[in-house]
Amino acid sequence: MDEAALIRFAQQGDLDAFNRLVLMYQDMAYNLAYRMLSDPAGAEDATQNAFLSAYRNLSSYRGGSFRAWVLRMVTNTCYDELRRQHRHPTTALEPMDDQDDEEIESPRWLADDSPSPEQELESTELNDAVQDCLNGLPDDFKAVIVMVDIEGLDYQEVSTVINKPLGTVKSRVARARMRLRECLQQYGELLPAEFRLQDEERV
Amino acid sequence: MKQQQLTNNDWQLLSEYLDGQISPRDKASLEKRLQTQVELREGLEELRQTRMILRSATKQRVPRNFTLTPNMVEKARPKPWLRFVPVLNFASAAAALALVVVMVYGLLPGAVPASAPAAPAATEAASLMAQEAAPAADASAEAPDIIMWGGGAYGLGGGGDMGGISPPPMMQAAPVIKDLNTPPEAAAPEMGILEAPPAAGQPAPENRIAQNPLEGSEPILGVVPPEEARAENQRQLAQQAVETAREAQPAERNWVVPAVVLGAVALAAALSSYILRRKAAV
Repeated sequence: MDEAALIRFAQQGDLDAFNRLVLMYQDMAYNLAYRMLSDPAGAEDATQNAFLSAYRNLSSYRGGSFRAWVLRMVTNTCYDELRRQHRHPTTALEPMDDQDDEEIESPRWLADDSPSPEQELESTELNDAVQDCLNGLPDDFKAVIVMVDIEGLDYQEVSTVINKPLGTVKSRVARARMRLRECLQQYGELLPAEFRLQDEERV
Repeated sequence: MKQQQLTNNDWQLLSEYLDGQISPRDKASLEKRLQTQVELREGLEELRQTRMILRSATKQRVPRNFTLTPNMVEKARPKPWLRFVPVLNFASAAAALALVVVMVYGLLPGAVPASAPAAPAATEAASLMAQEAAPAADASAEAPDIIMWGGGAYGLGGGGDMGGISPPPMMQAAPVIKDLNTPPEAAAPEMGILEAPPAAGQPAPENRIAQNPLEGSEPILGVVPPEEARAENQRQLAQQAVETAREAQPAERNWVVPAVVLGAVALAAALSSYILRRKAAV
């Protein structure tokens, strides 16, 4: 059964059809939530809530990219959670960085205390560096760059997800990359050699 | 760091170029600059590496499936009364709006005495109706004019409109009457400006008309004796005044009812807003 048929059945109240759609998109949804919230448990809740919200609002889906529609549910859920976090900040998760006084939502020492299987992989440092740098971005930039560069969506689809013009997507991608480029340079030695952003390698 | 010479616009062009999202015109000019400007090439390379790092970030495995169970869906289905919650979330705004409407309504100059501006209009309309209802009365008031006009046709130059129509004998015979209120039948003798003295024991106007077939001007001119016309007008005006007064009362009641309703709505809205806020706080 193709996606359009599943969506049609789901819209008629067929929960099994909807769950098949969930299985198709849950990886992408969870990864987006994970990168945006920088917290596995929070990402889990956000993903579940996003799919619940999607099921509840299926009647508002009017065609087009269903993936983009689902991801909009995820980003909106994450924005809500981030706003809630900003309203009720927890000091344990948002200590101040001594160097530049910027908040870091998921400090390295906290992650190191409970290493997950993913963190035991070879690219642990790389992932941590990426996540730390993503955490320093404004939420709007973060959502866009995660969808474009990590999830691999095209600009047009991202434009649909965030309901903004293509120009806004281009601008956010560029500004997010500029910031990430500066941020990742701090991790120079921690990154695998082929990823090091060092002038001498380039010239 | 030569890249710092690049402007934000340069970085955006480079980023778009990297993703193949640049417009053909910008692409041509950027490629030309890339050939000559080292810092642009370095910037492009750094963006390319940044993108590569991001793309290399490990995908997280989902900790579990996020499929929905019937139980979850059932819980998620909003209770019927909760459907109004989004509306009630705006209850405080609705309450404020209702209050403003009530106050503005009360303060408007024409609002409270709603009948005030309407009364003259009503009177006007009533007088028009009275004129329509009693054409005879009007005719009687203008009867002398007609007689004058008849006289004019007789040689004063006012009868041009008459064309070749000769005035009826009655008109020819009618003397010039200056007093507008003078009943035609009383004008037979030249009365000057004096009102025709109603002789004691004079018969009722109708009877007089009947008694004076010569004064057949009534059917032609639609003349009704002025006393009768005045009485009719007075009666009409009095009736109109009564009606106006009657209308004024419902108008005041009409302003009170919406005020009370809006006030009740405002109160209910404020209460629901308060309750919802308390629930949300919990």
